[in-house]
Amino acid sequence: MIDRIAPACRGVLVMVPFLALLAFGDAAARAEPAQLKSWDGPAPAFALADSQGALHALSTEPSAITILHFFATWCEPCREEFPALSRLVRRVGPSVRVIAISVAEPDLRVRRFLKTFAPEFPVVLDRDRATARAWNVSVLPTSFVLDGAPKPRLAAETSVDWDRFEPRDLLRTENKSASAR
Amino acid sequence: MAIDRRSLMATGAAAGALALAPRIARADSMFAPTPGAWRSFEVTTRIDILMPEGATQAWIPLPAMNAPDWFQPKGSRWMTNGKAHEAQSGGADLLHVEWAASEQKPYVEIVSKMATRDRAVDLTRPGKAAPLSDAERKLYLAATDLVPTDGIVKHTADRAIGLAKSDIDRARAIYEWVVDNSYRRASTRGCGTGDVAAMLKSGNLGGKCADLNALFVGLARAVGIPARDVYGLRIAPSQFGYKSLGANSEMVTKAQHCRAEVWLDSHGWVPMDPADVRKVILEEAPGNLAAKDAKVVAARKALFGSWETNWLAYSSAHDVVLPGSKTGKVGFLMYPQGETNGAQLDPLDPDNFRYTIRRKETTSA
Repeated sequence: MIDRIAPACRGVLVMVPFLALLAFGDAAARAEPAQLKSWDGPAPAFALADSQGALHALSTEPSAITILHFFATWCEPCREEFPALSRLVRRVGPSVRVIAISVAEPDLRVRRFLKTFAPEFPVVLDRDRATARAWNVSVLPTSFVLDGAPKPRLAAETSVDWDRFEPRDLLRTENKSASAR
Repeated sequence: MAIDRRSLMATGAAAGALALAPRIARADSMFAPTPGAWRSFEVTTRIDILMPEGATQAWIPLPAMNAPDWFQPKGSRWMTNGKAHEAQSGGADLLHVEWAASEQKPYVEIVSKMATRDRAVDLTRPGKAAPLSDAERKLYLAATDLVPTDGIVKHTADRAIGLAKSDIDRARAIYEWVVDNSYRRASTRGCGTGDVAAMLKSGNLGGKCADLNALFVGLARAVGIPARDVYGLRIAPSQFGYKSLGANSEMVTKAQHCRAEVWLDSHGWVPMDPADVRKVILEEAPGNLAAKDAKVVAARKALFGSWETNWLAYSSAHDVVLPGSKTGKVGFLMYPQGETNGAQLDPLDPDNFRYTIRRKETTSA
């Protein structure tokens, strides 16, 4: 009998190589909430529209980190995580850029969700799951933390306690690595 | 106002208002569908786009599964203030309706007629089926967007079939595995998404029919047994007294249900529905029935090889491209779909979309 895992929504989606390939011990991981693990993988490009049609994409921002947050409106843990992401944006300001990616949901359902949660970051629509597939995501919520390159450094395929997330630690580690190179 | 009756076929006396009172459910709990008399139904789907924001489109599935032994579509007619035309996409029949941005109250009403009868395949006797064509075999063994047939799906299927050799034994092993390892999750929206790989990778095999029966189909395909989902709508109460397996009111807006079939060379397409076994377990009174409960045992036995056809069949199409859509394709077409000003309406929110579906039995006395 397969164990029934309470959602973190088996959602639409799972990061295949995720747990198997992760290596712990990096300074960046130690400074983050336990849910975030070190992650070394590609950063597939995307350009996705939000519900108003504005396009959003990954970009190089040396002084900031980017959080990609894959979610669905029907996923309870995702709904609980949204306010925490907004608090993070308010707390740390421009050193963090959050892009939330709604996976395979109708535009108007997402719009209704946004009216309730009013997030302080863009929410884009991955209507055909192409971006989720490119990022090997299949459990929702899944989040990636990217450095300014942008290169993925941390990831979690569960909810993250964003109130404990300190981007300065990650940026500091990144700068240290850069000077070592 | 445009009226199109191109596809309205003669329905004889059944087209009249010979609606019968719902048949009385059998008092016992034996669930054992067998082919019997044909029943006729009329299903009316009404769509009103509540808040058009510009040019608007809708795609509505039409019941078109042509299965002379158990389901006969009798055509659809419609009335709309938009421009409507029938289309086929990936094996699904649909009505595509377009409204100009100037239309403030877009609507379409579709009346579909059909005849159904219960279905059962006697697997204890040798059958005689025309062979499946190479093209069909390829189609029904192929992976789809949401149902891969390699990786964890193949691995799970191999584990489920164990040492079973014949297709029928393998199909049965997979059926039992799905019933034993999945569960019906009441909170799943609609009928679920049918993302089989995600279910297996997460280890969470909860869901509804589009999840559990897609899991069955994916596992079967992964071990080389042609299989398919059949997407449809419950349109009548169960005559076997199973409240959970019927549409118990004339309003069937939320009664979508998909089933599964496997192809056995000896018997042709064989009906299956492991998802409904889990539905019986969860929902039949008093709820959360034990696997050994008589109602569960009867349903579990019957739903490997038979269906009660108090249900209409739209199609068995996966990955349906919606013609003219800005949002691309859907994994399956079982709910009306719509877009206004390029934004996708929520098919699982009929109250805001808005749509209703009513059924009426028109079987002659």
